[in-house]
Amino acid sequence: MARNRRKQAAPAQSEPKTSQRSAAEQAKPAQQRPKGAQQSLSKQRSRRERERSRQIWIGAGLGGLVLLALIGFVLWRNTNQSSSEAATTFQVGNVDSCRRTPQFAAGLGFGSAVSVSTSDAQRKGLLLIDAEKSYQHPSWREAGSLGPFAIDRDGNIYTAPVPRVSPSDIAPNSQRTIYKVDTQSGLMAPFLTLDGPDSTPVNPFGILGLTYDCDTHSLYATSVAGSDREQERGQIVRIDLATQTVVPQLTGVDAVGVGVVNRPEGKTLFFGTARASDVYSVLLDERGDLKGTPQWLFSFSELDVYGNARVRRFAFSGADSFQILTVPFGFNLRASSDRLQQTFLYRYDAASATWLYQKPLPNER
Amino acid sequence: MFPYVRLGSILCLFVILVSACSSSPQNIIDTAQSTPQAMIRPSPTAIANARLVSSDEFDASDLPAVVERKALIEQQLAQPNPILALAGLPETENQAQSIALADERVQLLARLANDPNQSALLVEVFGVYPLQPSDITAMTSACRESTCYRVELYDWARHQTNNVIVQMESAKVLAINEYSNTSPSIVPDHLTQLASEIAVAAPAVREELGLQPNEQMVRQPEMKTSVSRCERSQHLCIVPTFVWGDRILWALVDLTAYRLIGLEWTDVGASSKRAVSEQRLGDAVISQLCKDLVQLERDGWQLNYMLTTSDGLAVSDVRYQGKQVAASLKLVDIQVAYTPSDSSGDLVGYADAVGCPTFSTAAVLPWSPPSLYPIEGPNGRTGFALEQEYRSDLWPVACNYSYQQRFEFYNDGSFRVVFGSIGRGCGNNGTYRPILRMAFNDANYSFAEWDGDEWLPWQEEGWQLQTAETQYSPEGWQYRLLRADGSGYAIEPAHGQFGDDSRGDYAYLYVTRYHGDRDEGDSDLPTLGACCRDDEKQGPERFIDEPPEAITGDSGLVVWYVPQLKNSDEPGSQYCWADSVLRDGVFEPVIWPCYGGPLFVPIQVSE
Repeated sequence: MARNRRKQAAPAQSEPKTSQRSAAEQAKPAQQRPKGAQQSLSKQRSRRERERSRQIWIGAGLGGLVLLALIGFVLWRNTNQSSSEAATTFQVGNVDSCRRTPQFAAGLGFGSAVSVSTSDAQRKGLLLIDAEKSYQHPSWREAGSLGPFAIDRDGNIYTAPVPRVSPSDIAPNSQRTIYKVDTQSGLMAPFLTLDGPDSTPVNPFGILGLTYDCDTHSLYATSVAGSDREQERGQIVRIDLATQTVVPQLTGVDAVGVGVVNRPEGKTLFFGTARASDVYSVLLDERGDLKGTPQWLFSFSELDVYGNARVRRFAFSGADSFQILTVPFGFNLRASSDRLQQTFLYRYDAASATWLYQKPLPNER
Repeated sequence: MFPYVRLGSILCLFVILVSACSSSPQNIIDTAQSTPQAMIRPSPTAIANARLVSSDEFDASDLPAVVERKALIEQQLAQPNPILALAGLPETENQAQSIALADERVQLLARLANDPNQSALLVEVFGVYPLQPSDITAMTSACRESTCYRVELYDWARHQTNNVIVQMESAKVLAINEYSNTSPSIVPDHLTQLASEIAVAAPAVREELGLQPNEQMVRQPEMKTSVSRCERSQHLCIVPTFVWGDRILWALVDLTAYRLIGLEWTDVGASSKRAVSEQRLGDAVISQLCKDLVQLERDGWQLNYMLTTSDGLAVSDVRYQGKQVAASLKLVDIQVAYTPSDSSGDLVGYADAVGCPTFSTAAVLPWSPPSLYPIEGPNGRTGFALEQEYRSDLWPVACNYSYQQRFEFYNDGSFRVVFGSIGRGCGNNGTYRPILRMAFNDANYSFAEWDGDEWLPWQEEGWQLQTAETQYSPEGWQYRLLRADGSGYAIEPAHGQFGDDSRGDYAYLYVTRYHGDRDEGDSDLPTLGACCRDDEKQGPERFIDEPPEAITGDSGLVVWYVPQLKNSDEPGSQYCWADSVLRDGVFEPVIWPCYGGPLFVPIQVSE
C-alpha cells in the first residue's frame, strides 16, 4: 500500500508555552475612590471638628498655594527645558538606542562593530559578522532560513523562520514561532509561538516583521499566517518581554515591516502592508498597546520600479524621518535578486502634516 | 558561478549593525488611552476588468510611425554622436541641448562601457528645462549667478535618466547627474503620439471600445497621457487613455518594444492613485487562471487546465474523440543541480516550483497567460500546443530562470508533455531535472519495457533510466501502457528525434500504482526530496512502496518522467542558455532553449 507522502513530520522543535491576553485584560484595575467624610455625632465634637476643619482649610489653602507654585515651577521648567519626570512620557526619537551587542559575542572575539545577518549567501540561519570573520553556532541553523530579527537591551536576538525558495527551507510548521538567541549562552531556541491560523500550501509565510521598543521592553511581530487570496488573516502583536506575554494589537491585517518611534504626538507604530505598497501608523499607549485607529500615510507604488515592493524594515532617523527598505513580496517564493531591493526616504512635513518622499541624490559627476 | 548567490539575493537582507545608533531626545510626549478602531484602507488594489495583449495578437512593427522611428534610430546610432536630439525646441533650449550633446562626457553616456566596439546605446533627449534653484548642487553652484539649463536624457537600454546641467554663459556642461532605474519626468510629445498611434491601431482596443478609435478619443483634455513603468521588462511604458462614457480604458504601451501590453477599464470617478502597470495587469489577469478551470475543445481533443500553487499548469481530464486519455498531466518540480556531488551524493542546487503568481509556493512565476498555437508539419497542420512560460524578473541576467511547459496534442491522437529551459541559471555546469507526472486511471493498465528484442512486462512499481545504450522498439518506443483490450499508449522518450534540437532526455521513468481513494500525487505537491541528486532518487521513488506494489493490469498507473538536461554556454554549442545582446541600441535576450519530455503514441486494439 502506498503511503500518503504529503504528510509532514512533526516540528523538530518543541513549541514553548505561551499565553495571549488582550490589551484590555492587561490594563490595571482602576483604583477605588475614597469614601466621603463621616458626619459628627455631637455638638462639641462638631465645634472641634469645625475648628479643625478651619485649620485644615487654612492649611490646605497654604498648601494649595505652595502646590500651585510648584506646578507653576514645573510647567516653567518643562517649557524651558523640554523634559519632564512625568510617569507616562517617552523621549521623542528612536526607541532602539538601548540595544546592545550580545554578551556571547565578546567571547568569540567580536567587538562592538558586529553585524547580525540572516541572509548569508551560503549558510541558512543566523550569522554574526564583522569585517574579518563570521560565526554561526550550530543551533542557529536548526530552524532553517530566517528572516526578520530584533535585538533587545540585554543583547538577546529574536528572529523568525521565513521560507525562501521552497517551504522546506524552514522547520515544519515553524512560521509562527519566534526564536531567541540567548545573550549569554548564544544558544538559539524557540521562544514562543503566536496563536493564529497555520500556514497553508498557498501561503507558506508566517512572521515577517520584528522590531523592539526599549521604552516598554516590547517586541512587535507581524504575521501573515493563514491568509489567502480572499481573506486577510494576519496580525500584529506586542510581546511583553518581561512577562513573555503576547498582546494582540491588530488582527485581520497582513503586514510585513514594522517599526516604532516616539513622535511628538506620542509613541507611534508604523507598518507596511503585505498586499499593497502602503504604509500606516497608529499611536501607542504607555504600555506600547494600540490606542487609536491605524492611519494610512502613503503609498510608494509609484516609486516602485520592480513591482510588488513591500516594506521589509523601517530605519528611523529621529521622529521625523525614516527610510523604508523594501523587497518584492507577492505571497509567493519568487526568487528576488538583491537588485530588486529598493530604499525610499521619507520626511515629515509639519506644514502639510504629511510624510513626503525625498528624492535621492544623483550619482553626480 | 555559485548557485547560492541566488539564495543570498532573496527576500530579506536582514543585516543591521548591532552597535546601536542613538538619537538625541528632542521633546517630551505623554500618552493616553483610547479604544482601537477598525483600520481605514485606501482604494482597493484589485484590478477588476483587465486583459493582456500578446505580441502574437498584435504586432505594431509595421505601423508607419514605428517604421519611421526605427529608421531614425538606426540612422542616429550610426553617427559619431549617437544621441537622439529633441526637435522643435525654442532657440535657447535648443542651444542648451547643443552644448550638452557636444560634450564628450555626455556622448560617452551613449556608448557601452568596456566594449572594444564602443557599441551605441539608444539615448534620447526628452526635454530641456531651466535649472531650478532647488536643483543646484555644489557642482552647479555657479548657476546661482548665471543661466543654466537641465537637459534630460533617457537611456532606453539601461532604463536610466541622466540630467546634464549646462551653463549658458560659458557654454559648458557643469555636471551630469545619473538616476538609475528612473523614468524621465516628462515624455516628449512625439513619443506620447507614437504610443497613442499604437493603441489606436490595436485590435484589442477596438474590441474593447466596440468601434474603431481615433486620435481625438485619446487626447481628452481632462486626461493626461501618463508615463508608467513596465516592472517586468524594465521598459519605458506610456498609458494613453480612452474616455468612453463614464468609463476609461487605459492602454499600457511598451515604447521600447513597440507593443501593447494590456488594457484596463476603470470608472471615471475611480481613484487613479495606482496607475496601471505591467506587474499589476499581469498578476490580475493570470491569477484568474488560479481560480477558474478553463475548458478547451479543439481538433477532437477535450481537456481542462488551470494554474496550480506549485505544480505549474495542470491539464486534466484529457479526452480524444470522447475517450479519456489521461487524468492529469503536470510539472511537479524543477530541480537544478550544480557542481559535482560530494560524498553524500547530494549536489548543490535547489528545487523550483512554478505556479500561480500570488498565493503560491512558486519560485518562478508565469510571465503571461497560457498560449495556444497550431503545430505545423510538412503537410500542414498536425495538431496544436498549449504553452505556459515562466520567468524570473531579471532574466536573462545570471541566476535568473525561464521555463516552459508545453502540451502538444496531435491530430493522430498522440500527445507530448514537454518541459523547456531557456537558461540562464547560475552557472554553465547545471543540469535541469523537471519532474513530470502523468496519471492514467480511465482503465486498468499494464506496463512493459522494450528490452531490445521484445516487450518485457513490469510486475511491480519501479524505475528505469534512459541511457545512450537504451534500445528502442522498431517504432522508436521504449515503454508501453496497455489496457486489457490491447489498446493504450507507447512512450517515446526524446533522443534527438523530435526536431527541437534536443540532445536527449536521459530520463528517469517511474511507474507507480494509481489509487483513487488516496493522494498519490494528484494534489499540489511540495518539493519532493532533497535537491539535488544525480541518481534515481529524484523524488517520485517516494511513491514506490516498500515492497513495491504489483502493477499487473488491475489498476490505473502513474508515470513519472524526469529528463536530465545539461546546460552549456560554449559558443556554438549553447544549450539551456540565454544571454543579452545589444540590438538597435537596447538589450534583447538571445536564447538557446532545451526541451525534454515523452511522446505518447496511441496503440489501437488492432495492433
